[in-house]
Amino acid sequence: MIEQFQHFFTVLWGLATDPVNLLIVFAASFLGIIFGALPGLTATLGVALLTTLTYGLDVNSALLALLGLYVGAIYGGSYPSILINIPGTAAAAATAMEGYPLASKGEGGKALGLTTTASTIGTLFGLLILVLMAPLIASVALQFTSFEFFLLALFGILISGTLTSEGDALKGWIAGFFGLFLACIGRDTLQFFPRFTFDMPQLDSGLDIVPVLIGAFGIPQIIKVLAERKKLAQAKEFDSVVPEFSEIRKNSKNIARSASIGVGIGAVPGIGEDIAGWVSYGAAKGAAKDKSKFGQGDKSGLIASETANNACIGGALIPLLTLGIPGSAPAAMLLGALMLHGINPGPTLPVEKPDFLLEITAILVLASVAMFCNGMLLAKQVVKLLKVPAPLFMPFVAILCVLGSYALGLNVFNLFLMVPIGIIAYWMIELKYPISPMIIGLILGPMADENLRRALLTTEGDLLPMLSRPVSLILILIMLVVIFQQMPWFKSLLRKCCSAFKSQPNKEEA
Amino acid sequence: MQTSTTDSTNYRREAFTSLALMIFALAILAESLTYPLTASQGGLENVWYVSPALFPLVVGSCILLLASIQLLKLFKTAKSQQQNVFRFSAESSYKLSQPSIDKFLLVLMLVGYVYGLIPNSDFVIATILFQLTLTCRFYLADAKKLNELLLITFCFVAALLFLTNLLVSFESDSSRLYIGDLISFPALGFVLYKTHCYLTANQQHKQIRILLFASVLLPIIVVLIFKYLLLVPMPSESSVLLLTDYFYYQVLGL
Repeated sequence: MIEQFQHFFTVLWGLATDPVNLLIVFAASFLGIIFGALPGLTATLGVALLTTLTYGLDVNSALLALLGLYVGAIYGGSYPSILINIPGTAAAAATAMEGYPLASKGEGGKALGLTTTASTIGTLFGLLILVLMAPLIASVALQFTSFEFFLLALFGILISGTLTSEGDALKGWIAGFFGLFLACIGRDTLQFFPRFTFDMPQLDSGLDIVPVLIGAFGIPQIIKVLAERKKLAQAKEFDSVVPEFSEIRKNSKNIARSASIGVGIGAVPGIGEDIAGWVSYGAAKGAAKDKSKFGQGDKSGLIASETANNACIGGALIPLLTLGIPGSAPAAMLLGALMLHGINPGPTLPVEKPDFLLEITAILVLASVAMFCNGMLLAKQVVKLLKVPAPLFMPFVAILCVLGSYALGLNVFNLFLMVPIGIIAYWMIELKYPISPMIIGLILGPMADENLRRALLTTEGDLLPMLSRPVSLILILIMLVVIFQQMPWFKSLLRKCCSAFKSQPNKEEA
Repeated sequence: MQTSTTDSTNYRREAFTSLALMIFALAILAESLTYPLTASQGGLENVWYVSPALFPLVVGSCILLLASIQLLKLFKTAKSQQQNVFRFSAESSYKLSQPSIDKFLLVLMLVGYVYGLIPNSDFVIATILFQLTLTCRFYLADAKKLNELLLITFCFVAALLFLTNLLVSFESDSSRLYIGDLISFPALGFVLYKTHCYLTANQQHKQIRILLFASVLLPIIVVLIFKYLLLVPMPSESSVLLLTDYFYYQVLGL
């Protein structure tokens, strides 16, 4: 344990004393805040575009840039939420509920100070849980066989499909299976047989994740923002950004609860910061003594939302690093970036790279510090950017999408791929099909395919051994409950069971 | 009435998407069934459970099942709300709103840029032409005639380049790009001239500076950063980028 601490501080010291690394992390964090602050740009798109630029860097510098941007972007979304009542990212939607009323009262600076401090605490809390939980989960995952990995992939798609779709889980599942189909394109890993390549050699190695991600997240955003021709409101004026530690101390319980919610939600595959923000905001409101203050600038609601969405980052990294399953959309992009740098996240990661978790933790600590400093010192500069109209920066984002997709493999075919994927993704969004399950499906597809066939090979085509393993059985049961929960008769049955269970003690009392 | 028409349009869109998904799933299944299931593959005797067709068959079946359930659910909901899913209402279908037209044009421009301009002309020229057309359309939203002109020019150039590449066989890639530049460069000059004329006539000098920066200078800066700092060659390099190469390597000696 002491050795690990020593190693952690050595890595942190090494990173923090290198001026190049400091420049990278501060610049990436600032860029992230800009990506988060500009409505229309998202954390995922930012990470996707930066991945291309970090290809030539060493792993640590690349991760410093990517995680710096990720942390900064999740936090940066709070700026327009507070100042113009439009969330910069979905993650900051709940922040607007209390942030904007505070800014309207002339307390914009205080609100930004609170979000900066709460976001930093949330990120650090998420990190702590990541460090504590990841080795435990990884050691359990080492016992997994092919059946478990296949079921885990299916579980990820089902859960993310259920939780990200707006009321209709079927759409989320269809999106997930569409992602699995995309993963089938190319030569299969076991027999090298070409599938859905239609004699196009460019498809032999399958679809590159980066152009698909840029297409799926970038193109719909460009179309949506430009076509809607939304004009942003004038940002509220604010005084200097000051961290209010007394308010933070008062909200320590709220922070602990929100951070736990954030980490928990982040760890569930496919769902991310936006849901964490809303759930913790709801929990803070539920726990408040005076609920009437909510919606009128209550600081605890603001703190809850911002703590949770940043704690989600650490949570999203738990399944990513231990199981190879991304916890959120930006984490899916990070997975692609890690694979580009020759790192394959999963249960074998602690064996192959024993210090990697500590390195990631040190990088995230540095990213949080950079975010805090940037937030405190450069907030006014970022707010100036909110004055840039979308028609001026969105076409530029389109150029970045093109360059980002092309630069990775220096392959024009990636561009030909990005556009149809983007159009399909846009159509899916229009019809309320969520995008995250599609991406999770694309990423987990090879794992599901390979492990299903490998498992069947060991059992000579028999599926029954799947039921004899406890983890498989638990996963199957959860999946069945998730599926049946979408059926009205199952819901009413559950309700009846619950009411019967509740009325039982009452009868006994009577 | 308005809500009812919207509902009906939504139901129709959902129903057609479900049908398209079912056809797509059937296509996946049909294609997967052509893969070796039990035959010998690469000298190895195959069994069904290691066949490359297994996973696509599972995926295709699941999509087919889910899309069918979705369609059935849709019919059930539409019936309960007394809506006809497949009734085609001419009244509602031919009225395209401005956002819908904009979305269609955006897709058209992206397609034209990626499939027409980028592979067939210098990347800098292609990018400035795209950027200027796109930025003007949404930044100078009131300049309807100018935007129409820019859009027609852009689409014409993109289509011409695409068709030239398709129908004419060139000796080399560079000759194809030079021919492409001969088409796109005058078009870019024309577009820049027309935009400048419009803005000068309307006394919008500030807009000229902003547009020049956002649509001309910014793409050039980004291209130069990618090419000379990050050492990423551009997708298509001919006249402009060869000129910058000459300056960078020969004149500046870097």
